Amino acid sequence: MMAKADPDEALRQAFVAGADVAGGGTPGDERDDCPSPERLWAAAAEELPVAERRAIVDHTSRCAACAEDFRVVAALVHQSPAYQAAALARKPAFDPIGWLEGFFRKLMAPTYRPAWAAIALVLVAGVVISYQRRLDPDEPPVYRGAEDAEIVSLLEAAPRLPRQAALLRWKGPEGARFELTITTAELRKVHQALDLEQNTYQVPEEVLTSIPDGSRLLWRVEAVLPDGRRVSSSTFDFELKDAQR
Amino acid sequence: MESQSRRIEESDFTALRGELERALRRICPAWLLDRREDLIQSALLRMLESWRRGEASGEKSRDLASSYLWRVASSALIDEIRRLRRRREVELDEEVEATAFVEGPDLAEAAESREIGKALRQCLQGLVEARRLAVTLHLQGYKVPEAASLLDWDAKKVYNSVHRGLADLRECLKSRGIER
Repeated sequence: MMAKADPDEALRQAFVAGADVAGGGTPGDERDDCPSPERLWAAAAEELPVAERRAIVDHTSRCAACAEDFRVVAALVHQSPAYQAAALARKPAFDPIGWLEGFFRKLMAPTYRPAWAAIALVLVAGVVISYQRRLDPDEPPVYRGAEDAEIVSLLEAAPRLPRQAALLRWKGPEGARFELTITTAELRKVHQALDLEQNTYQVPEEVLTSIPDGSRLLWRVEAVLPDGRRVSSSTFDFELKDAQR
Repeated sequence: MESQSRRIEESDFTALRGELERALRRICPAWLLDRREDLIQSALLRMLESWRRGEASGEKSRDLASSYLWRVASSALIDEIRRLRRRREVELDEEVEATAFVEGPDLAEAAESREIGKALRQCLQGLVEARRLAVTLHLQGYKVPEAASLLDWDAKKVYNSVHRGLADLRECLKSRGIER
């Protein structure tokens, strides 16, 4: 019994048997209509009309010698630079139908059935786990203050604050941290405080030492929400006064 | 110019020789393996003659990459193969005459192989044309896309014709007592 590594290889060998004699094993039968080398080239290079190409292929089904010659010619045609350039230009680089057919043929082979069973199990497990996670109560909560992120000053209108106790207060989104910036009316930065957890801040006295009494100072708050977004307030102001006044 | 022409000749023919060797290494018929070098030399000589004739006549398009020269090489190869084949037929006839009453394993094996090949080709003639053409190209090593292009069919028709044609062929061979 012959080895079955390539079931068609035995047929191929049988097909070329007899090609070493003219007439392909049937002396005298095919010699008169054997195509010339030039016609073999023209057929393999697809220069002849389709009907003539098919006729030559049909001849090679009867004549082992011409089948062998055609195989040699076709190999040279396919190796020639002109054919390779034309093939690249004419055909898609990838034959999707051929690839798919070959791929599915291999996949359906009995050898791969255990692998298919394992893949199916993994897919089912994945779906189950994914569904379970959707019901997980430990999901981090969605921040609820996002819709109401406005920052408002809680100081009275036109406030006058002493430099020894300049307490700034505001209302802002829950769970946020705040950044406070104080400037002069000319927008020269006086002080900045970052990462404040409370919505109040007492301005250090030493920061205000150089500011003349009666000066108008501007202040602004920026909230950093838990989801990373930032919300800025409008600009508020207060008048700096001496405590003894 | 003359020296430049000589430089092109050496390097490009070396590359071309390499291409021919590669092609023949893949498809050289078994009975010609010991003649492969002669075949390559014959093809290269014919190509060189043709190229020089083109140069002498002033044809500008005959560079070494042109399909014309490859066509010349192919014709040279086939002519040489056919010449050797005719000579071999005469040698075999003489051998058969000389050994008519002596059995030898090589001779018997070769004869059996030829008989199987003959039966296979007769079975091919019994197939419908589409299957016959597709199987013939398949047995010559053509891939589905190449056969589809040559026969001007779509790949699916080629694949189906090969698949069904091989089944018919094996059935026919089996009916003649040949399992392949």
